[in-house]
Amino acid sequence: MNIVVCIKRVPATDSRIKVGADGTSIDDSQLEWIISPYDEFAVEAALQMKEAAGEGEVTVMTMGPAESTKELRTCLAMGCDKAVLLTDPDSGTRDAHTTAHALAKAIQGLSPDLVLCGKVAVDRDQGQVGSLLGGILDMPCITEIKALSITDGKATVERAGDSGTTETWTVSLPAVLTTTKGLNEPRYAGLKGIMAAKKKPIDEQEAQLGEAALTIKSLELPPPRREGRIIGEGPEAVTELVRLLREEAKIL
Amino acid sequence: MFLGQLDAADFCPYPFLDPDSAELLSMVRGSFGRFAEEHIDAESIDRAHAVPEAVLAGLSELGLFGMRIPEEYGGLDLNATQYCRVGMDLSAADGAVAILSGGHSTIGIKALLLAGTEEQKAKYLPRLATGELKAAFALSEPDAGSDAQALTCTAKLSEDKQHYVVNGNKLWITNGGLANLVTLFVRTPDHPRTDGRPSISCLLVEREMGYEAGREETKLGIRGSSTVPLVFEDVSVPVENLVGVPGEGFRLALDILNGGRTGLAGGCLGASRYLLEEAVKYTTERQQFGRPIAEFQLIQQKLGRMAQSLHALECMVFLTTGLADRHGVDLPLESALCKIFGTETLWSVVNDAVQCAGGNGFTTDYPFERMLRDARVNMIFEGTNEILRVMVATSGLRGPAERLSESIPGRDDPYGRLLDGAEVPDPMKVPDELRAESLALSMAVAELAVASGKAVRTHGKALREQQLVVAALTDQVLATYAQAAVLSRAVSLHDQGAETVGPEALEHEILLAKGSCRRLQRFGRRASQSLRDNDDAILLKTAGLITRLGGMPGERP
Repeated sequence: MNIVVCIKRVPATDSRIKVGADGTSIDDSQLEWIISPYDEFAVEAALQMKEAAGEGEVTVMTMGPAESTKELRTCLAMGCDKAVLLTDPDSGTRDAHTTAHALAKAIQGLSPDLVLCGKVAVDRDQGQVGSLLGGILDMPCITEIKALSITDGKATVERAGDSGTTETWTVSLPAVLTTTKGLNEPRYAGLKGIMAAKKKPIDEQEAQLGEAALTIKSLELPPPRREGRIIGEGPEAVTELVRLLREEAKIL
Repeated sequence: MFLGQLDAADFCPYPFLDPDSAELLSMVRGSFGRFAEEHIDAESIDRAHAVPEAVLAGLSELGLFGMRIPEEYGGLDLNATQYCRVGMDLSAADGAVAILSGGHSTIGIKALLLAGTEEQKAKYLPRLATGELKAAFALSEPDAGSDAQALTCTAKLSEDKQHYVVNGNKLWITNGGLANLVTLFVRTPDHPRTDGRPSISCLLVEREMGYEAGREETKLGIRGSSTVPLVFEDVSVPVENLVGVPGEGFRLALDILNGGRTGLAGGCLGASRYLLEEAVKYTTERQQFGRPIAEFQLIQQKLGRMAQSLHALECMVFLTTGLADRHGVDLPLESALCKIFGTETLWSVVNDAVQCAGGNGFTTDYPFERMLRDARVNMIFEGTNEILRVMVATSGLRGPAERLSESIPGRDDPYGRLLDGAEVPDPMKVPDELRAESLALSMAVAELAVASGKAVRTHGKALREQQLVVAALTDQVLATYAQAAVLSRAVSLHDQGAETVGPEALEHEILLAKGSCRRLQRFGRRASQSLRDNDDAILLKTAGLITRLGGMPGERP
């Protein structure tokens, strides 16, 4: 069972984001970086599938600046076997299309049985790379899975359907699956894993970028939220509330 | 510095962590951080007076007990800087866990690391790294605290000379209740010293060899940590468990303690940072008179001074660990300064934080009161701040004084040279915004040399007894060292340039550097002033009177 997991380094979720001087990118000089949390579910799932199969290899892959070795090394410490870093100093500005192409190029050379990634990276919140990978690699793709098992070359997955239903799908491999919360509890990188990770290889290669389908024209932060107001009490307040919702908030 | 010398090359550029070390650190911190968030509940540890087994087991797996152990023995092999940074996180998560960790890694296993033989290391370090063995350091006794050399616990060779038979009591042993390997310091009359000093040696004693751990002390703070007396009654320890040179154990004990104090300072830094964040959260949310209390100047004063003190502490701690890592040595005096400044900064920060939180700060609904209780012990253990203040100035001055007295034989006033030698060293090259601070540092160094020279000349060998004088000198050197650390970091970041560091980050650095330096200048000047103009004689006379009377002379309502 050969599995490729795609991860992304994103600013820590409690970061205060600032728009850069160019007005189209984020000022990343003061940020702390983490593995996008949904990607950790993908790493854990890959390790569990490999362990269940009793054989195989998990390759963790990312496209990013040279510093992304830190996040890759953490995945190696969790138990991944090797890592591929597709270097791109401007990865922060790439659209999903460009990224997916670069990842797909590198994945093709590895001919995996399974490709896993988080359902969405928590920085841009676009959630496109997984589906695009399925398209480019010509593999079936199921998004936002919350359960996974593999038997006889087929993956059985569960995902949340509409109105609280659960959909169960069976898909032949190779396939692309994107992961969401509830699938598993990602393990910690422990003492043994960290020491072992020091010796595992990180293959660095220049990202073969696809063509951008989107460009960012400008980036701005949402206006600060206005403070709450108490308009009045009881039924008398309703008229005023409705007026404000209509005229000021313009949501009615 | 006591000699009035300040060479920027000694501490510039600032020894930041290199990228590889930073990568390992961030991995370790990532695991510990998530584990702490999910599993460490400081409030319940405080209430239960214990760290749950499951937490210890989890932390063991993550490598908590192997942080300082070399890779070849299965440890994480963190350097002083990395270890200190992880210690900050642990202290922010829970004071008791941090102390438990330090009791093992900072002092518990250090004898083995410093002086253990290959066989001893191979036998114990791998099991210590996984946490299967947890270590404690046992030096203090009922009548041997700061005066540790007065210890009486004794090991005598058995008739067949294969074992030591240990008898005696140890007190205040951190981790004593949960440790199964004790680094024990004992008198060894079978290995007399030629200089007539007491022969003290270091033994590794396993729990199974039969010592007893007494009842857990009921403590003001760090209640989740274990602090117990240990009782040794005819405990038989194989001779191969003696670590280092027989009879030279006291030196080893001092080396262990001297080298370990940056760890404690890092813990204080971590707790201080956490407290400042909690205080900011509280004061920006808490509304009075229709606005957040953080908008009032008397609250801002507290937040500002907390930030300035802990900025200075951060620069100082990581300068010390960085230099220690760079040169592969321990820096006893600098580490002692970090310990003094760290523990006292935390105490003032936690005091300010409690005040910021008002009545809520006094209740168990908020972390402030627990952290206040936890913080207090830091000024007491691992060398009281009093003993360290005496140690820094006396050992700092001993070397220069002796050298001077040797170089000018027959001169009546061998220490006078210290006075003459006090020139103002060249100011460091700093960005314009910090020029005044750099000049002030040079002046502080010169002033320190003058004060040291005068003290040595006036009191000579009796200087050690003049504790108010030596403490003031230590405070001066502390302020000076801290200013150097702050400027070193600011200059190094400035030299890296706004493009690398970020223009805003650089601005923040300069503001904090300026503020911290000025705060430290004031602290240093106060100390220096107290040497020239004080009421020490009246103060000491009063203390004498009170001691004689057993209290105040009489009350007159």
